[in-house]
Amino acid sequence: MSKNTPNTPLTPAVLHILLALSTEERHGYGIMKEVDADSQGKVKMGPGTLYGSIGRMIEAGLIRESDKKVDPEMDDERRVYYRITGIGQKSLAAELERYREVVAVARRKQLA
Amino acid sequence: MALEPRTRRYRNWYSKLLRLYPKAYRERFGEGMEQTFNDLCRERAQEGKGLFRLALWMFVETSAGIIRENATIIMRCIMNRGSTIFLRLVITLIAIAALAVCVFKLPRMIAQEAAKTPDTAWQIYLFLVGAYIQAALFFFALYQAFKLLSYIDRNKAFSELSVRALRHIKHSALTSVS
Repeated sequence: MSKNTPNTPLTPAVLHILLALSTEERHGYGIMKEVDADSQGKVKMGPGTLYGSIGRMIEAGLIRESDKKVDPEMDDERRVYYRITGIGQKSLAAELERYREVVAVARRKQLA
Repeated sequence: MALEPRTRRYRNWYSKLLRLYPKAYRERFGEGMEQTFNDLCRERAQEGKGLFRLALWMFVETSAGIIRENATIIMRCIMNRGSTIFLRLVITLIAIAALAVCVFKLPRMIAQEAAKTPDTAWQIYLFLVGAYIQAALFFFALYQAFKLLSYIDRNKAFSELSVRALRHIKHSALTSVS
């Protein structure tokens, strides 16, 4: 996959993962929990979708692996954390701007 | 904390399911996926909820991911080898057409011509032998072209092997012409 440009529209899964990583680095389970909380339980992302998206996002340069760490809240193994990159932040900002424009259009047409 | 046998069983099954991912993907994300599965099982157990529905959903969802990732690998492979696959197809079609002419058309034509002029039939049969020698050279060149494409697929386009294949093609062409 080639590098994303900020103008490339994002899929819902990618958007939610970027939102989850926008505030702090997280591991897979942490991303899942954050997506669940952000969407108030409306978006259920399993490991298949999550890690498939993570793989494509790394290839596109939107996120990258951080160092392996131990989660203080989880007792056990070392985990791979992911963090958003500069391209990821720009893509997220551009996507949110697109959403704002759509909502503005909907408001003008008194649909929202 | 000791795991409940059912949880351990689900974890084992999930671990086995992950083996169906492409190797590179499994090596990169397999451990993380297993950890995530274990975390979700642990969370469910702490909430005192049953595991069956969660496990079923995770197995179905991960199976869809396995299909998607394998399909991606296959598609990339086809895209990367697309041009050589097309050329192989063209070579195969040419070979089939040439073989059909050699087996069906040429003997019938020669037999008809020989029947018309029985006195000089030997010349016509000599021509047939020459045509078959030409065809053999042509098939040999096609075979070498096929080999050359396989060297290209293996990133050996600029190797001694590919030079030898090209030389064989050239010699076959020159022998055919002369």
